[in-house]
Amino acid sequence: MGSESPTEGWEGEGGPPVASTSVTLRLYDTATRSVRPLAPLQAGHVGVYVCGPTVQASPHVGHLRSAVALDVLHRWLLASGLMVTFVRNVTDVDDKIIHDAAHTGEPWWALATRTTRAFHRAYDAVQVLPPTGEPRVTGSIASITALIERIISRGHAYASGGDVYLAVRTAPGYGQLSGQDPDQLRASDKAVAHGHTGTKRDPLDFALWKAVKPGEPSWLSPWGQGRPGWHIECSAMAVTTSARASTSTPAGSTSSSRTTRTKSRSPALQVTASPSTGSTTAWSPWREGQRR
Amino acid sequence: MSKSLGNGTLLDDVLTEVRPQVLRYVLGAGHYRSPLEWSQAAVADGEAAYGRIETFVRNATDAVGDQPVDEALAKASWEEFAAALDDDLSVPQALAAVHSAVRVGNALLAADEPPALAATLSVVRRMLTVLALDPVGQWPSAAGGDLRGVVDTLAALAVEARADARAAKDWARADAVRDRLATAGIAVEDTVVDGVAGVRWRLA
Repeated sequence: MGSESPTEGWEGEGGPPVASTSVTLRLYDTATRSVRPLAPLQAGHVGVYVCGPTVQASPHVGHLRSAVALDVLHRWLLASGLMVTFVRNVTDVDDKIIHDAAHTGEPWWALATRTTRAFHRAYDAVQVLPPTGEPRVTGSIASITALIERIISRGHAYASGGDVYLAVRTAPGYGQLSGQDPDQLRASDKAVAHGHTGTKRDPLDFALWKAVKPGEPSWLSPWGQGRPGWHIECSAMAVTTSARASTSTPAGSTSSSRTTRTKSRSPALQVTASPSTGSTTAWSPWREGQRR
Repeated sequence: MSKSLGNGTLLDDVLTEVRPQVLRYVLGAGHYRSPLEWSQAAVADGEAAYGRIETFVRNATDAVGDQPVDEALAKASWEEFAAALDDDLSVPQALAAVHSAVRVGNALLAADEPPALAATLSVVRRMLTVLALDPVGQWPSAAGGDLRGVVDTLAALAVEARADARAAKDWARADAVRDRLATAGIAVEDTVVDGVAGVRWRLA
């Protein structure tokens, strides 16, 4: 324990602890597989981006388990006297939302809205603090298409038949963060099930943008009407809301999580802070050339 | 995977069987990088552990009264707690600090040592506040916010007293009971349902 621990506010009259410029918290850093001191890029301020729920069905305890774990982080940062910008997105358009809504005749956006409210009630029920910001995918299409354009311009993605795919093999260190070797990965057979219209150059490539299909919601993009792929959304929303992110920590899950999906190619949590030594090794297509 | 609770893991179902503060305790008790077992046994353990905390806070609050708080007396507990959370958010160790302080507090309760007890109670609630588990203020009361059952029982007692007074032809006392209920915002009405005389109350 350093002298700057939260005990500093101890002698006070019960008011909030005095803002401190250094942080005593050490967190697990996925990139280096080690517990390291959290070093805010901006003194006294920490930005947290949390991959929030995909609002396809009512919440179960697994969803709340990770929400409570992240709430402890949120509350401990606050108790430590830090300014916290806590952003948790809502993925309000995805394959299952569209599929389930089409099945019952409910508009997809009504299902997403209803389920979002159920998640808010669930968070409130166990006293999870509300986030500072809560971006939605449907409200972030412009930043998502802009990010995809940047990735294409750097040669790491390509358009095909109205889809856009990330060219996984062009990414040095791809899979490093999740601990997966691309050569050991098996291509998802979902690509067929989801009826991609374009052609992948490599089976491992995955869709950043999906061309419109009949009856599905779509937005205008440089590649025609379509909607974002699941794995680009948080990247765009995190970039937009926090601008910088480099360390990441996965949230836990319960052993009985039945339907929780995590965006496996995106970290569940990004903390806007730089490791105190060395540089991050996680590959970020939109930050290539910007690394220190 | 262990057996889940009766109605499964959907939150709305779980909350019909588990108090929300106990759910928060159980879901937050493990380390965030470890899998968490969700089972009847885990919930029962959580209910018992959180119940010990609630009991201590309730008993200690009654015992310390207006005792001034010298938190420095219990500073070591807070430092243990802070060190645990600073170490990659080790909630299990942080909760160990809470329970250890509760044990110390229970001993102080038994030994009737109000100054040290007040300090321990204060630090326990401070730790619990960080975890959003302070039984005072942060969560609905045991009555679940719906006091109808409680008021019903109390109103029945008062109505009985009024009936006794009337049976004894003590009209002044009967009126006094009715007036005190009215002052409390409760109107009592005589009813006859299926030939049986009774009373019902409503908030006036």
